[in-house]
Amino acid sequence: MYGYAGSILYVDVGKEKSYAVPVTEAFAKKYLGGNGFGAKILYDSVKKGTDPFSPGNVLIFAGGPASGTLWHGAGRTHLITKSPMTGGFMDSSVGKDFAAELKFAGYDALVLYGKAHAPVCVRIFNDSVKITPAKDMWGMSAVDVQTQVREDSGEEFSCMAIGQGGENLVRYACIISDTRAAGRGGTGAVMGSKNVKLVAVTGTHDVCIPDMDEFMEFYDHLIPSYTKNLNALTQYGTPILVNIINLMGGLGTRNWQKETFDRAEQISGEVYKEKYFNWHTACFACRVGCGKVFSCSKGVSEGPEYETLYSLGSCCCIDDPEVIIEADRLCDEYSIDTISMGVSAAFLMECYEKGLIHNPQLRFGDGEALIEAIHKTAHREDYGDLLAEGVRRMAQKIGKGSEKFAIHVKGLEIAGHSPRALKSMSVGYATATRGGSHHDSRPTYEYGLADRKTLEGKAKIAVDSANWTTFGDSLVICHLMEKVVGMFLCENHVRMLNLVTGWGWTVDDITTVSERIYNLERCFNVREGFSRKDDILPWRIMHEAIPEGGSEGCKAAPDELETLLDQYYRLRGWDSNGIPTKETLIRLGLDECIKEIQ
Amino acid sequence: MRLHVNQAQCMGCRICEIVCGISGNTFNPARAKVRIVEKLYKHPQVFVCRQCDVPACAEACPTGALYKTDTMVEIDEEKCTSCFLCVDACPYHALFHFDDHLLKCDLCDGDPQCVKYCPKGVFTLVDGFYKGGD
Repeated sequence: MYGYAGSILYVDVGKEKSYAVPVTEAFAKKYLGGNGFGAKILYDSVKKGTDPFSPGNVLIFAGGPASGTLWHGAGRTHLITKSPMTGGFMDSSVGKDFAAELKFAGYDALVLYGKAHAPVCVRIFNDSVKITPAKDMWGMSAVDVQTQVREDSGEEFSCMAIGQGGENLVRYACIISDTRAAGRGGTGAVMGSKNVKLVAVTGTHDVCIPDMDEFMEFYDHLIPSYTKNLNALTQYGTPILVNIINLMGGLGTRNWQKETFDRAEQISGEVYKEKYFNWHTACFACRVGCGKVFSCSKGVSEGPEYETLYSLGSCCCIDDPEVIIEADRLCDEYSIDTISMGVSAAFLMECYEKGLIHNPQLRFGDGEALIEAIHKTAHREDYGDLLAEGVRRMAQKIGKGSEKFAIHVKGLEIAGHSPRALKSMSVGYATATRGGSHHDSRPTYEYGLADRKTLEGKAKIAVDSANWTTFGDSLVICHLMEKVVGMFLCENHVRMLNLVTGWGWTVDDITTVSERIYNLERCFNVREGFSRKDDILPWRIMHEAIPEGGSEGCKAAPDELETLLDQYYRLRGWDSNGIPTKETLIRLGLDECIKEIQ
Repeated sequence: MRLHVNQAQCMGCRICEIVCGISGNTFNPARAKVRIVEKLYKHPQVFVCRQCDVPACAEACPTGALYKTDTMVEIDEEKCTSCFLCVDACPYHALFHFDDHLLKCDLCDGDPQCVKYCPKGVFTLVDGFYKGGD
């Protein structure tokens, strides 16, 4: 079967055994790969009510038919699990080359399940799967442990690793691959709960496609568009967005009390490039190279990316670019999601500012205190034990009205794209199966619109962009390619799929498979008890207007959100409570879900 | 002819490995004759044959399978016994093997695919053998 390795590797880390299951053509055509494979495996294997930290949860590392080829970002990996942040479906994407190496080793996906009795590493080289003790590695950083495994083995393994944040079950612990992060939703905490320190893979098998000449012809056709449309990312990386989004008035600042940061220029992409830039980095098969290695007197880091400049920067009112470099590197070493870390710290800063707590004395703008908070969070030490829970649980514990400024959706802190200034993102965040993620629905299209303040057409943008991301996450390619091939599903996407699989699909076909996968994610959440009541935005976002700047006066008022939700549900084929209808599930071939969610 | 490598421009995308490793309708960087090694927080390094003026690989080869022509260092596949003494001898760690097959840059018959596809212009095709210095 073209484009696929043809098998999924299951590893029971508790019983220290592994086996491979063939990928049939019917399965591939129904769920595509990446997110789609992950959604199906998660739905079938994790029962309702399973504790995300229990052995019954699974952690899936998935690539798709594009993995290992030349398509942009064809090394990206999707990590799917039941999230300890949201209690629902989670997938988190990470760059570099793990999924490509997994394909070269002979697997389209890897499923970890069970729980090891003591810390272990999993090393995969083609048919060889070794589960080895990692007691000596427990306590190491996510960076050091990768280096050690490579040096000990003499192999240039592609690795997924956790640091102390994952070991200590920080709810938003991430997984680090090379120096990239599968940031969102606590995948690293799930890996830590299974006592798995690191997964390493490399392989030597071929990835076969139908016709290399046709593939290269289309690749050659796309090349000029990378230079034309993504040059800013090549030059500056995602930090270029800081000034742009601040000017638009959508840069979450002071825990979203404002959406303009008067010192944004100091932490802008332009300043980082001029003062701290060392070299560009790229993921497997990427022509853009949006990664930047920055260094300063406080150390070296790959990043910060835009999202980190928002969360650890403007959201906490930190204007010292060197503090953010240090904080970014620390989070990577500890394997902690910078978005949730920053927004959680900002929440606690506001609690202190409002006198709701007296300790810790975390003040907006205090860089030293932020660094200390990261250390304490990673080790769950002192008040770090509270911070490690994320804003929803912190607000429940602190009370006193703090839930009104707990900035999360479904328990996941939101990313740096404003749900008040961007209407499609308001309904996009609210309905996202992952919670406060900017990679279900995308903000990119609306940033380019003159009309950002009306509701017309915004629910459709949210649906259509989420169908694109679902497809991209299942193929698997990088979302940043949207400016090259399309922000909504189109012929370019079809060609990319057909050129690696030989299937002869149409835009309708890829739209249907994307809808199927997204509905299956939704069904997982519905089975857990999610419904319209959970498709809601933070109180502040719905009730407090942006006080100043380019989006002054904007908010996602409850009646606005209700209108957008009604429209979104209709477009999705969901009932008024946000549940996929029987007709929708039958149309998408998800009949098996009907009994469990209706 | 040889490849000149501008290491400072490399960003580690491995596109050179991917295009070099293409064989028929398959992708497989394990077949590539160029390798990118990236230690964490270190600049990526490119390893590829420099077509040495005095090739240590040829000197180490017990069967004469590696030899200089007028323009480059070539392999006589029939003479190669896959002992890979050349791999160990190369001072630039620029020879590799895939199973029993020696992998050494052959400049793609004068049209190197790494030169064509590297997005950062890391590779350029220049005249002469490598005599040290870059």
